Amino acid sequence: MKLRTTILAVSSIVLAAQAAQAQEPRASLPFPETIEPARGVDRLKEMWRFELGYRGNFITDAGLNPFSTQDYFGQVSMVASRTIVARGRFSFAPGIGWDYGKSGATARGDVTSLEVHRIVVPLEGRMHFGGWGYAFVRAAPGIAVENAEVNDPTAICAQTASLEGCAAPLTKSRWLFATDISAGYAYPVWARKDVSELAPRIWLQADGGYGWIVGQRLALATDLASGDPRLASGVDLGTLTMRGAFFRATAAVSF
Amino acid sequence: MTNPRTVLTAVAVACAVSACGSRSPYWDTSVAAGGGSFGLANGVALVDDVDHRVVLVTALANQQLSTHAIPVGHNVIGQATAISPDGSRLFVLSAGDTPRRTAKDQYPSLTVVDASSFTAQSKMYPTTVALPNLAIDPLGDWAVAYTGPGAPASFVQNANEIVIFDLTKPPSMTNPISHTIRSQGGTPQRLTFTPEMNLPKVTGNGRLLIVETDIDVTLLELDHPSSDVTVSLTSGTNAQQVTPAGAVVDSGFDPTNAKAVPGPPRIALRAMNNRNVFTFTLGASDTNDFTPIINVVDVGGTPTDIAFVRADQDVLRVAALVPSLTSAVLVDADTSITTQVALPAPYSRLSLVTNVVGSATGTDVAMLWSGSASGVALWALGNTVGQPYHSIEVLPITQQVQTVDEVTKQAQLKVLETADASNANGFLVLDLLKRTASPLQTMGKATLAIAPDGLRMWAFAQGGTDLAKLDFGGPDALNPVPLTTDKAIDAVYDVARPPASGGGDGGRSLIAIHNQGTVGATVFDALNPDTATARIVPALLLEGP
Repeated sequence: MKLRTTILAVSSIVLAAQAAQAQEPRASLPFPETIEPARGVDRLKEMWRFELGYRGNFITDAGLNPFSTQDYFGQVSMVASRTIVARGRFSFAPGIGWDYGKSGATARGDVTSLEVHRIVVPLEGRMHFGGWGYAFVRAAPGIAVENAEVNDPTAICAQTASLEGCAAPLTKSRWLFATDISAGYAYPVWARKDVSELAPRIWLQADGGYGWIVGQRLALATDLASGDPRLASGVDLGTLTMRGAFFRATAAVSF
Repeated sequence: MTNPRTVLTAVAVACAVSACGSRSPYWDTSVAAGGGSFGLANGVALVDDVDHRVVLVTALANQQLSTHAIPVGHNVIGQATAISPDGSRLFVLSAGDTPRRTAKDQYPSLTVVDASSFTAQSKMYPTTVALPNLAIDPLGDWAVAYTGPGAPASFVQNANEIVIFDLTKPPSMTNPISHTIRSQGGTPQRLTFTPEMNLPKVTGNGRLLIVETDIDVTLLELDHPSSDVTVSLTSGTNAQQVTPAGAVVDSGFDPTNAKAVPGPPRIALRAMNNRNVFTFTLGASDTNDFTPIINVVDVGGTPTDIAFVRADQDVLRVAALVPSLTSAVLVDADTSITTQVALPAPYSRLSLVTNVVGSATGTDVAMLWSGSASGVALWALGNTVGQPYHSIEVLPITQQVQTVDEVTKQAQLKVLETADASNANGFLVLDLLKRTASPLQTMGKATLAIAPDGLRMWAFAQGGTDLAKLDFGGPDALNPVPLTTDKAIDAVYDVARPPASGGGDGGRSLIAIHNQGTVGATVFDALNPDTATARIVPALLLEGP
């Protein structure tokens, strides 16, 4: 009852105010009315973006040889970014990225694998060309973890009771500093004519550059359970430095 | 239209900056199964033929191992890989690349790895012909490659060609040398290096190579191989083929009296399925460095073992064991007069142990045993002729002895490997001075490895995980220390660790080799083995660049 009374009162006040405004003479305005459209956001420039694509690394370091039959390391690449500064044709967008790849091979008959996660903070400067997209340069410092594994039948069995054919893998896992520098171009393949409309836009983009992860000594150790008293040595596969040129091709969606 | 030069330049730059490298073939070559491990005094050599190298494994403190790779020739001939008797050197014979297609392809070669110190060095002797067998001089001066039994290694092969390597000299145009022995139809089967001999025309003391073929024997002076002499053993009166079965040598020098006037050097030979003993007295020759004077003596049955012995009155004789007669026959080397000595069992093998048990009269003592008859006996030759029954001392051993293993630096000890009907071998440790024989039983077939320092031995089940240590002396003498490994054992080696002056602790380690994958090992402290302190070392043939 009380709610209904309140609604009726508010409605009466609004209608009365509108009637009063309509009755005011136009001649009371000193200047003719000019309507300036509200300035819209250029969402080809200022946007949230999410990228998903493929990254190919050319690694000539001999340390990769036990884990790959090629001097190449493929990864899935994901980046999320947000434009925080836009001035004229230029903008700046930081973000966060994650690359993941795994390579496997045999080394002298032993099955091996190398898994790399790279988490970076891409800092991207963009130069925009309107509906033609933008060119960008990107520096992406971060960290990476490399998990190397070798399966050799002469390694100790992880279980205390020895079993024929049982061998624990020889492993090493380590976090390392990583960084990328690259340049590329992003083109909007599906965009609204109204650049300010808050709607998803699809981009295709490609970049190339140089990536680097700090080198590490691949001294792999037997992966025994904690508390296992047995003594086991490892194997030294030399130094692995994941560095080299890379390319990346991604599709992106922006808002 | 793009300029091709521009494209090539761009590709080259891209390759230089990024990829286009290639994986080393090392990673693609699996370790060959049964590549072979060889025990050296200071470590273990693993032959990694597919990677053209030998990996020397040396022991460190705390049961750690270190590895050191040494290149060897391509296509290692596994059966021709050998170590020197003192364990200081490894000999690796390689067939080379066949057919050679580029100038870089290798010729056959012999690689000699000197591992007498913990920093191994190697020498490679190229040769022109790949021969599948290698004989090593026990004194370490010579190595000879020869064809031996088996199929030819090439389409056409000279079966009588031998390659002589002078290991005291560096490789050169005249080292090694290739030589074809004078053949009367036979092909070399077994090679024996003589000690220094009192050869008539040789300044100093010459050494001979005795080449036993399948029908004859060739005597060759190693310094002058062209002066070889081939002696046919087959009689011209019948067609029976006489195949040599073993040769023994008397240098002419009296080992017990350096001042004695040396006699003529002699060689004695026995043959398969032949009742004769052949003796060769090497006399002077007008045209050659020596000439063999041959005596053929019928000993009444096929001799299974022979030796030069000094019997009563210091007369040199050839002792021949003739199991078919349950006897030994002594052949006077000068007169060819024979004396038959009845034995209590048909012994088939003999070994001189004079230096161990001693002899007041300067005559020899031989240990006799047989793989087909029970027991071991000591035969004192000084009392033999005319008194045979008083010269034999039968030791209280009832098992059949298959093999007698020498114990380094403890000549009075012999390890007798026996075999019984259940095929579970046992063994005995015989002390010739105390006349004791300690039997040790095993649950299964045991493989024995005697430590080079002569202080202990190891028994293990090949292909199994059981291992035991036995000390030869001390308060725990012959008390087995049972051990076990996680992986199947293929071989064990008792090796020295570097001395304190070399950064080590001077101890000893036992390395049990597991020949799987890229070859692993379990390492024990050899002096105080304990599974709690053993270390498993995997992937010895896998390492980074």
